[in-house]
Amino acid sequence: MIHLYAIAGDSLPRRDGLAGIDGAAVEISSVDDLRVVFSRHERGLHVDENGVVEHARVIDDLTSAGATVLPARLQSDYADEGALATAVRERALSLRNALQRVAGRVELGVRAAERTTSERAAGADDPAAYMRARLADAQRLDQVVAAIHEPLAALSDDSVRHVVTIGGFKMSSAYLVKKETLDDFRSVFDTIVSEHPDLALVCTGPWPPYSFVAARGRE
Amino acid sequence: MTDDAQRSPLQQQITLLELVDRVLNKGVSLTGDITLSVADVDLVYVGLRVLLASVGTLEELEQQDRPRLEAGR
Repeated sequence: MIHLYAIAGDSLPRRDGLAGIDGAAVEISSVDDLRVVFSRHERGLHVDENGVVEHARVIDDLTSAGATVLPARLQSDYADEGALATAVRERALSLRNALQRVAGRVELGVRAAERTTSERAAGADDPAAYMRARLADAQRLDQVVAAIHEPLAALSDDSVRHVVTIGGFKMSSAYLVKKETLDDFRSVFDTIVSEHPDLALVCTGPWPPYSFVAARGRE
Repeated sequence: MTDDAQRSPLQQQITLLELVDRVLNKGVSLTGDITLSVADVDLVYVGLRVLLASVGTLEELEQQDRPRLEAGR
């Protein structure tokens, strides 16, 4: 069984002695002009929290050495090297494009949540008033999302976001940022935090570009 | 990722949630030929999601960690 950690271009440096899930040796092999980073296992992996961390650690090790990689999703296991090579060749063009897109960039994550739920009691007995209150609330939340997301998206080359408003406002977003823009991004994030005392806001990263491995238009 | 020792418990837990979210749901998936049992993965993910999905939990954790968070900025 082959467990895939990442796909990289042909400039990926050798990494000797790197251990992956369950301590298995991490290997790098070529599939045409691409490189695959994997480990071999006798049977299907039993994945727990440690496995998640070990998978991520291999990818972190590659990126902290300066390599541009496409991180693989954890459930990326193949019967043998041939099956992996076939899967890579089938998507070689989009993989090359994705590698170009994320080169020199990292991902930053932002989570936001409202400290109090936005449900309004007003108009509970009057359906029309209730609907107006809900509409006003939806418009207000749109403005909140824009106030957080737009300044950060303006500093990034790509972004994704997921907003939930049922049972209170929550937002999870990710930004693909040039390494030299990291300080500016964090500075703008700190400003957003200071401007929104009503929100719990957390920025995480820099991450390998997990959220930007597929072709996608800018949101 | 930066050194965990520099992070507050809130930051560490949210970072872990973000890590699990990325490793399980994002990243390249080349094929539908998935041989891994996803039951274990789901349990890891659901457990963390329950921990941090609620605004109340987030607030509670942040209140505990506020002095350190502010000091860390």
